[in-house]
Amino acid sequence: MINATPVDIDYDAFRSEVDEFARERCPPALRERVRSNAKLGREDYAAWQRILNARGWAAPGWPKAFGGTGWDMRQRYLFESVMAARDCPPQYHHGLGHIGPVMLHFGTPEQQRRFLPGILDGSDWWCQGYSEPGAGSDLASLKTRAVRDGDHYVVSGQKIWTSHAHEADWMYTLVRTSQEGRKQEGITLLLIPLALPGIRVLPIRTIDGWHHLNEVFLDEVRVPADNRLGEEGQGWRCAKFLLDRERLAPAIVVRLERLLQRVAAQVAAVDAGQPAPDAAQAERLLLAEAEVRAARELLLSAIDDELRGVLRAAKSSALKLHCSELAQRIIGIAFDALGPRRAARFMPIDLEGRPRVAEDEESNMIHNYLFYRSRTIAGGTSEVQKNVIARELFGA
Amino acid sequence: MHFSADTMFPGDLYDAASRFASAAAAKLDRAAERQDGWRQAVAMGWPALLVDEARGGAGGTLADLGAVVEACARQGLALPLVRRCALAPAMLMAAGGEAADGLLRALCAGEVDIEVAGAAPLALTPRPGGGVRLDGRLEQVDAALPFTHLLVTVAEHLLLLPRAALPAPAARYAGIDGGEGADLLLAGLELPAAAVLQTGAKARAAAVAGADLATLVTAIEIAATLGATLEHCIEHLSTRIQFGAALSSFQVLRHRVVDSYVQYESASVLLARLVLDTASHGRLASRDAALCKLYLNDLARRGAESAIQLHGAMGMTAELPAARLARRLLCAEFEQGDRRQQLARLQALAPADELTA
Repeated sequence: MINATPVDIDYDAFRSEVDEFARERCPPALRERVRSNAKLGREDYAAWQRILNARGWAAPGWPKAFGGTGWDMRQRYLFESVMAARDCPPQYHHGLGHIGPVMLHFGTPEQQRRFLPGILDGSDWWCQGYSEPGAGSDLASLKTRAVRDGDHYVVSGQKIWTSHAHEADWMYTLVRTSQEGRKQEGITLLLIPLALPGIRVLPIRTIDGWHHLNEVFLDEVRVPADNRLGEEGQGWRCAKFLLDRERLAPAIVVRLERLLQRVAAQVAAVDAGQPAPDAAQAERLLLAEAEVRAARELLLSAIDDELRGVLRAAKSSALKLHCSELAQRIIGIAFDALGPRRAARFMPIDLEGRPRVAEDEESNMIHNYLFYRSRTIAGGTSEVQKNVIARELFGA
Repeated sequence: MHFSADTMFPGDLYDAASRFASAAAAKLDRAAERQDGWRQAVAMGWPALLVDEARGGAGGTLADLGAVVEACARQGLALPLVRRCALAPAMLMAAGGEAADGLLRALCAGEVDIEVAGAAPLALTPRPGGGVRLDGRLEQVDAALPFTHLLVTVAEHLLLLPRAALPAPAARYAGIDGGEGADLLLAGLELPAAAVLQTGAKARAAAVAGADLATLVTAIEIAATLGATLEHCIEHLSTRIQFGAALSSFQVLRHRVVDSYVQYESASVLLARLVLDTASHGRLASRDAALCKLYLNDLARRGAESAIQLHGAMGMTAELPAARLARRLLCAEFEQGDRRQQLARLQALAPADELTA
């Protein structure tokens, strides 16, 4: 429950306003793509971001001074709830949720003037250059090297698992600028235009059949020193700031509620063609419903703790852990229902003999079942989350 | 300092109940001390906690009862709080009528002590003048603690059976958690019209209101027990040395504890919310109660098994505090509706209009 909220905000009126906006302004075709769980690309996200920006709602998590809405956490939660219930697309997180807030905190006024407008109106597309072949969960082991050369850094190395790099304009990138001291200390955050000479982006084929991951090769790429965010060697602090800030994103919970409704509908449709309903599936759906409600309360409780300045890292990590594993359980229910007829018919093969992605709702569920394996891997694996929680529970 | 689980219903009442429970729990191995604990609970007015002030009760909220149940559960104190402080008053308040009202007043004055029997497959024969005759086996009555009356619902009749009219137990048994139950063989037990508190729709309504509340309070007891179990596991793993290191240094054990922690956090905030909503809406939805219990039943089993495993061989010893809590969890799972019963209730009830409702 959220206690620390201003008294002069009419939350019911706010919710109605957001709901009316979502119904009237989100294009029906886009809502249908979201409803059917289709994979969204840059065009989808950008179209919705332009509409939100025109309304002044481009950045629900940012302060007003930087073009954000200045909403409190309850308003953000209501906004996200309505967006999910009305099948509006989620907002593209790499700009608004990740690097944007880091720029607000660590960026120079010049950098803020230069980069924030493109994030707000959706014209600039960002991706995250963190992981490397030898540095995944152990991110501080990254080796991509940046050597200062006058007004530039010369960057060489390889990034991997880079979501959206194939459609992005910029990559916020952790690079090693020093080998001295603790390995976390020699890391710097650079903002790298992906159009620079020396950069190659290659797709990684993933089990879900969708293209979202890439390898990014950097070969003597000359990056202006003005593109460094924060001080040299401060990159780890920036990365940690980003992770800490994103831990209470309301979207991770409210989208679960809608997902469960869609999965329940899929199961009902499959059950309709069977001699008897699947009682085990019904029980799993009910348990998932209870867990989704628990996730919502966990989020609200964590927000309340945050507002009172008493939020424990264990609780926010518990939220991430609970939601990511729950998302997998929910999509797993759909997979059980659809798997018998769709596992062997994952993607149709075209006349050239190539599998192609179909966008019907059933296909999307199967793609998502596979894609959702990444929920417990990306943004800190479940095992890393458990380590974080355990440190707090055991005090060491 | 070791981990301490957040309480669901913090406040003065929780603190007072905690002090009482920690003092009483140390003695609970013997029936006499359990009886003493219950006498003190009655003296503190807990059976009257939910009854409105007009009828002599404390006019407390569900959160107040939650605080008492949570504090006692965390100490592993096995008192019949669900049946005697939630189920009995809730049934009587929902039943209405002069007889139920009078009984509530007597309950609040400490003149009666009301136990509640589970659903009984008894044969009921109406008698001339409004009385009834009962035949059959009344199962799982907690006869180890004193009571003056037994509430039972039979064939849409809410009945009040005086203790003095009941036969000696036909069979007695100990539960997994050390609780004691008895089966009573009723052979032509004649009850006067005054023993029939309500019939028909009102008796049904009383049964449903009582069941919903008792279901939720049992879920609260499970969550609180899970929190205490978690604390014991963390304490044990932090202090027990094996292979030259504290067990808490082994990742597989740490991660298993984290699973329990996440389950406790999730369940406790869900229950706290439901209690708050019940107070603000003035009613508890049957579906919400059943859904919570279904969820907590699942967690109870997992929590109990995990606690035993994490304590190794010590987890198999009956009097280890964590093992006692685990045994309590294994019983609570089946009280006020097991998995199958909650599923049946949920399937019979209309689905929620929307998940966010």
